[in-house]
Amino acid sequence: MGNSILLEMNDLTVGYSKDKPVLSGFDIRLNSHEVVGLIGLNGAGKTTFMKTLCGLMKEYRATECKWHGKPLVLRDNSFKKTRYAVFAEEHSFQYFTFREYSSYIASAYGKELTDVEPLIDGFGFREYTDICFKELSTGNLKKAYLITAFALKPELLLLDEPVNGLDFQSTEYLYRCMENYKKHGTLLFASHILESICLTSDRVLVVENGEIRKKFEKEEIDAVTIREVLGEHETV
Amino acid sequence: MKLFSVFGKQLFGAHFEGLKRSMAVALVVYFGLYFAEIKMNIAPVVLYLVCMTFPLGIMWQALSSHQNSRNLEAVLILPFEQREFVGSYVLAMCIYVLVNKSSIVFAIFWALGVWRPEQIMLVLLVAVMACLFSMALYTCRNRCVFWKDAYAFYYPVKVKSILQRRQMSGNMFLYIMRYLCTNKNYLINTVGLCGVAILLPLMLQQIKDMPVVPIGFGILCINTPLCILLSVDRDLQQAIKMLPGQGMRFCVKYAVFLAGVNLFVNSLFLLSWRLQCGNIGVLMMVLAVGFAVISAVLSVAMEWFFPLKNWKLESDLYHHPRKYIVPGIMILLAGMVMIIIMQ
Repeated sequence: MGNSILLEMNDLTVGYSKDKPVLSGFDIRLNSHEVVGLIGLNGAGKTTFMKTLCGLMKEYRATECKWHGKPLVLRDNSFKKTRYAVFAEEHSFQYFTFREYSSYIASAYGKELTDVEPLIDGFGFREYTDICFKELSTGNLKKAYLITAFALKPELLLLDEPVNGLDFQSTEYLYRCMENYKKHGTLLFASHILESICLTSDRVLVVENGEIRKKFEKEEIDAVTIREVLGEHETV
Repeated sequence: MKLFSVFGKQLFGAHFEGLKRSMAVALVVYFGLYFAEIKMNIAPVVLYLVCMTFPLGIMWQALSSHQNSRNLEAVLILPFEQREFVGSYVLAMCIYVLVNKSSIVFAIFWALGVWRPEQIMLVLLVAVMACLFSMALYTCRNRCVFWKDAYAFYYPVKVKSILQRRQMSGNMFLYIMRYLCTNKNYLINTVGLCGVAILLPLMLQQIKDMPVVPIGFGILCINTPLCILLSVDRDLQQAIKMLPGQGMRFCVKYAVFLAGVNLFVNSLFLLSWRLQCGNIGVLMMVLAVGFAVISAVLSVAMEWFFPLKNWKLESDLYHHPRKYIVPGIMILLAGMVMIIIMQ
């Protein structure tokens, strides 16, 4: 599958206060139909980057921001329809059940959700589909958002710490979904779990001090090597 | 007093800036009114009643807030000394209620009236006792005595029997109804507003020779819990901003729902006016609809463009100055309508 450039951002600077940016000089390129893992220490800027892509960060600057080679406005409705995100601490729409939420998302994106039932069974979520999110446990809530994400199949899917809160079987199923996602679109995910990075990613980007310090592609992706890179700046 | 510092930071911010801000605002209000030499005859019993019921209600709201429950959980799981916990928590909550929430009310009354020092001391004593009484009443739910057991204050949100809801489509009206019904305080507030709508004609009819019905519509826009759907739920706020097409999908439906509630309340007001004061014309009915729709649109716009973010407990939202902006605009609009009618 020939990979065209999906998203390109150069020299991105963004933060929660003007005098202390979280990301600075951040350059990233995402190709179509690939799975990219973001890894880095706490506070490196992985979640901030995802929030930026979701249009949640008001103050950001980039010298170049392109989507399919055309200038990109992150809060543009047409771009919103091509991406969906599940954040680590997601508790939105607490008064919807999964069926209601997925239906709401489908109509927001103007498309039908496909493969919902196999996803429900794969994540072991069958008995929870008609229970309000407010009454679900953390893990089951995460499953609801992940099922919606994989059923929606957006061109760009963003997952922030997708493994958090999931039981063992669901984690295994999640890895399969992530690995296979390149058939449908591009998946960018942030994780601290090296196993999830190594098993599913085509490329791994190490985020450090607000920029991408190292990149690993295909055969280079190796838990030992990545651990060494991350451990380079540890102090004991 | 490490625990006091923990509770204080949860309630007032990392540097207690919320406390300093509230005191500053109260002082500004007091001295502003004092130097403006505005005085009113206020019966002492009114002052005592207000300074008893206001802190009592605010304390109850603060204790029952979900955020407060979460804050308490974080501290209760750590080792602590019973007395220090209770003392620090009671002190922090009393300061929160009396200074953060009630100081402006005290400042207004003290500036507008002429009081003896012993009356002011009595007011402070009454307010403190009201806070403690509210706490004692709250902890009765746990069948505990609050000065003996720190867990007396912990009343986790109970998940009622898990209810299967067989609805297939995600309907925003249904969402808001569930939001309202799940948070009983919000429902009680709306029912209370209906009560105000029924009683308001009694007060307004005393204003003679002026078409005051529009003022009633303006006053009845204050339905704070319904108008903070995004502010009170940061995750929903984030999701709505992130998803496509929410301007129509969410905001329009939210506005329609609010307009419906406002119209219902306005209708009760008009019905009460009809029974107590006489005829209501077609113009008043049209104004009821107009005010309901305009205040709903403005409320949703406030939530969409200016959601409240830096709050500590839900009661900070209920008493945020922003809640007076839409009613203020509607009362100004009512004034303009009254002038037009009188011409």
